Amino acid sequence: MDLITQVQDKLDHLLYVFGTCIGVLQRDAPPSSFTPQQQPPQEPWEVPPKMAIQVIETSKLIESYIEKLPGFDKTEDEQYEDLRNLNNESKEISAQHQMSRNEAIEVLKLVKDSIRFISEESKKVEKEEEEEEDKLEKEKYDKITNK
Amino acid sequence: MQNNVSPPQQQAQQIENVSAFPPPPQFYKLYLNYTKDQFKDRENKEKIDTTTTNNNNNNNNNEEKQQSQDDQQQMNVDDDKDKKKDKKAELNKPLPPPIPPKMGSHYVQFGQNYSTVDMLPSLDESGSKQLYPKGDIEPIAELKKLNRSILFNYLQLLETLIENPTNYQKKIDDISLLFINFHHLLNSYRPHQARETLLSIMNEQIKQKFQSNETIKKSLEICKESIKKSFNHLQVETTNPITPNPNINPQSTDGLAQTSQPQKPQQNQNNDINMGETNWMDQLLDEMLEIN
Repeated sequence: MDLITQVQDKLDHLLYVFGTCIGVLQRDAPPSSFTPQQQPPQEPWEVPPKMAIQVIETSKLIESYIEKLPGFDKTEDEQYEDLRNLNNESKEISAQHQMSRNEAIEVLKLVKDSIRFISEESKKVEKEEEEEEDKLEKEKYDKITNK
Repeated sequence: MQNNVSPPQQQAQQIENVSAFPPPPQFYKLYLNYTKDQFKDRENKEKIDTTTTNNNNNNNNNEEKQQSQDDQQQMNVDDDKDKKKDKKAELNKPLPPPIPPKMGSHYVQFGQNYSTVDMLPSLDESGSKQLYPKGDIEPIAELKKLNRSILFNYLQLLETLIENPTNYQKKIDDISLLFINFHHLLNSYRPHQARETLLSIMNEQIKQKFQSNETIKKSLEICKESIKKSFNHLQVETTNPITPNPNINPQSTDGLAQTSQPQKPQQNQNNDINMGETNWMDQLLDEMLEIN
């Protein structure tokens, strides 16, 4: 989720916390006397400080998100300039990438040609070996028959 | 819950539910099976009509079966066929969709007015007061100000609720206005954020391309090294018949040596590596072709 939406969500959450806090205070606050002197000693109510902390935490979180919002220190023209530069850089790198790719294709071709050459060569060798063997055998046979 | 509701109430509820959404467009019956059914109904009607007219004709003519009347009847049947075809075509032809609103005008959707031009309406246009200054502003500082104002106004609202609870409405309106301003200011910076996102995506793409380029180059270097080693090895084998490769017959290597090619290309190859990688490979390819 993008940061602006996150800030907006947090802001809506702050509003929700506001409403909840007031609702809880209205519902659960202990009754108070009209004359402060007659107020009976009570156990301290722990909820309001917690609610206050929640409100402040949410508010601080929003502030930290605001500070993190990207590129708010740049003007529109600066952004377009950056985009142009990055586009040029991207084109250059793409050209380099294409060159490397072509080179790789050529090397692959070379390797394939080499393998083909080696296989053809080995076939030739085998054939010659066979012929040589046949010749030798024939010579032997001739010798035997002459004897 | 629904079982307890009496039929009239149910009906009312249904009507409410239906009215919550817009009705289907008028032309929905032209599609799917609606068209077929409609066409069948029409066709049946047509058939009944034609048979009745034919019967009438027959009755009128009674037993006088003249050639001319037969011809006329034939023509009537032809006309009916043409009409049927026309109607079929008319039914199959979908209605044209409504003309889209012109640029700059407004249109109604779900009971609300929308503009055809996508732009954020200003706060004044939407009926709220703009709390931050117009023109060039520092958004971060303004947002922080608004955030603190919201907190301050909330405290004031709590005070009002303690001191004078009946005056709560004014403070709530203030807080509402602050929230509207906050959201509006954030929304007005959405195009800015979109451009920033585009920048980060492009940066990421460039990084990826650079990395893949480097990987290809490294792999290429390794390949070239191994090819070079293999060629050198072959060279040693061809020039040194004392240690022949078991797979290669000395005779064939002699045959290669007779062409006096292997020694020379090896030198060329070494030179070409210094000159340039592409030349090196071209030379090797030439060498291969020459040997072949």
